[in-house]
Amino acid sequence: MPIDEIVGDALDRAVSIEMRFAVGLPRGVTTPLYDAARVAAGGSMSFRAAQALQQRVRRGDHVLVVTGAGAAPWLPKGETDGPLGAAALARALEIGLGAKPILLGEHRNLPSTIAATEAAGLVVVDEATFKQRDGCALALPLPLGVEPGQRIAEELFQRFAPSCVAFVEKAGPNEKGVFHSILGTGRQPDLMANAHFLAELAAQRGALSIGIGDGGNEIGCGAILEAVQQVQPFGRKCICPCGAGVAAVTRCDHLIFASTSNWGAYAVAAALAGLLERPDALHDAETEHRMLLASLAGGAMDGAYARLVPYVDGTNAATQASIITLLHQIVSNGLTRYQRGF
Amino acid sequence: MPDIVGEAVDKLILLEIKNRGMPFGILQPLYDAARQAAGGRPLTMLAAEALQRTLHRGDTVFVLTGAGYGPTMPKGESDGPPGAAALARMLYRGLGAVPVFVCEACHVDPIVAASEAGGLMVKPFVQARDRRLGAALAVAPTEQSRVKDWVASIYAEMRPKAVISTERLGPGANGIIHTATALPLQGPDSQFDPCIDISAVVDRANADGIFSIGIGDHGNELGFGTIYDAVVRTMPKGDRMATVTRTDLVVPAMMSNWGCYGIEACLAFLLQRPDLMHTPASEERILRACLNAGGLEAMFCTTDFAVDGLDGETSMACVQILHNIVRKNLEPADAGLTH
Repeated sequence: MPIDEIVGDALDRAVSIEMRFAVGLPRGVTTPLYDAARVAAGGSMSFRAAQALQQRVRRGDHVLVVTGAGAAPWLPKGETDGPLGAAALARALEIGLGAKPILLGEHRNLPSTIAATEAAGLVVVDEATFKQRDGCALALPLPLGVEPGQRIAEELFQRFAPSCVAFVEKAGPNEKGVFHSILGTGRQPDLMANAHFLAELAAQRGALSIGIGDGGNEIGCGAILEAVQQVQPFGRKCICPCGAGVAAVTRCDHLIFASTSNWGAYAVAAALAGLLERPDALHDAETEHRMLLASLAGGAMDGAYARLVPYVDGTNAATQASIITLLHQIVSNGLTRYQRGF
Repeated sequence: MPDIVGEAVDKLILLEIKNRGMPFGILQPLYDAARQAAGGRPLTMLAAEALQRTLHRGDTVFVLTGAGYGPTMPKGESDGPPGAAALARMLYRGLGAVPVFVCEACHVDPIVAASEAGGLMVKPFVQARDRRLGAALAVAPTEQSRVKDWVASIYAEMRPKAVISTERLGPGANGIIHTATALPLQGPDSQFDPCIDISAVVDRANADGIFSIGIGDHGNELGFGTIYDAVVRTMPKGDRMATVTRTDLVVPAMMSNWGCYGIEACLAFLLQRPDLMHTPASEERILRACLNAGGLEAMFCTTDFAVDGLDGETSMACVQILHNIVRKNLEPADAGLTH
């Protein structure tokens, strides 16, 4: 018997435990935003997203997995939060549902995303090969800026007719169309891939959309806009000239709010593994470690330290592996029904 | 700031990961009741703050543990001693307290093995008290009729300033101790080896106004009498298995060990001494020592590397994440890489 929503809640909780610096980055924000997202979802976030994936993604369907955060000068080739989650989700969709994943991100973010995906066991190939065989992924760059963002969204939907678009740690614009870091600094749209147009097209074309975030400035967090405005120090008012706050307005069909976006993606992979009764759809702790090192080799840095070290959002490699161990145990015991005799 | 840490720790140790053949969907209601009874703040941090306030250098603290009986688990189980050992070590190293493990004779071996594997030696009480050589033992008599005098004697000799109970079962409304699934462990219907009720140790603390904490995972453990109604409402056969013995603070957890580790982590935070926490590697040593000494995992009653149906690796992961919570929350953003 597959897992149920109680198990899904345990998965959600395991990935929303806050572990932040004593000072510097916003603190005490994960629990209230998790609570708001849980209410908005009306149930377990990861479970409901996985259920929707199971229902709507058919074997051979294209799925778009969008990631890439950070920009020069601090994170010129992106950060370690995002690529690993995207890789894990792509892997789970391929192994679990037979989908054909297409990874998308700014040019600067693709090397680490490709490296993490290949370390997860999913080879990234050219488009001709991608069409010929299973067990692989395609990676394509997204252009920067508003109009190119609109154009590529149209083009990708025409070329691939995806049944799902998932966003992992993908910045989205606020109500004035400006992107922000969680500390309130602005990023003009021409520095970023405007990936939110993919979410808008997904809604128009009937594709499933999933947003995974950990701050409130990411695509998908539009579902908890008011909570982000209230809870995040720069939620309502940023320090850039736009003054409209960091809260992203773009909504998806499903939001998974976690303390680190990668972990939110792992929770979805775990829920899918539980629903399919295939624990191997979630990668293991050793693979996690390889993925982290590979993403570093691809240039991704830890987003909190802004250094090329094996950390994610300031938490060390052993902690990433421990999260995976917890998720696997939640799934495996969620699939076990052993009544001891006493 | 402590509440940010406390929330994270509580959330981690409360993750419900049991196999679905066991009572399920129970932890949150028990936790909600316990937190409400304590005034609404995160429980592990409340416990740590109270211990820090209460215990001073040289003060004795009783740590009660030991669950499981023959024929299934003649020396008890792997939930209990590891948590007691880890928390006792933090009280010893962090606060300078003198921990005394209070238990039944049948449970001594795994408790001593777990404690010494974790780096806390078990010595005669006088050596522990006067020369600070580690923890001590207070072993209950094997006849129930002698328990009352024994309790009086250990209070007179050791004068505890706090009493902590973890995974130590307490009597239900009918005066009998039950398993989590409401099987009697005492009386004519018991199918287990004799079980001695040492709840009088906690009753005496309550009578004398000595601070007490009860840590458990089902509601039949000493302390859960404080949230008796919630246990009866939440647990299958709750009216039979629920204990009536109360403590000042109740800490429900996925397994009792994790409740202890959570309090240990909060103490490390308050003391700003994450280096005193036991590590994932020492967690493995402690669990294996406990198992090898006869403190068995409680699903199949074997020496398999597990606790309450969870892999030992999962407890190691829990310890790793606790470390990370504490260290991050003590770390200024510009301190560089410190762990």
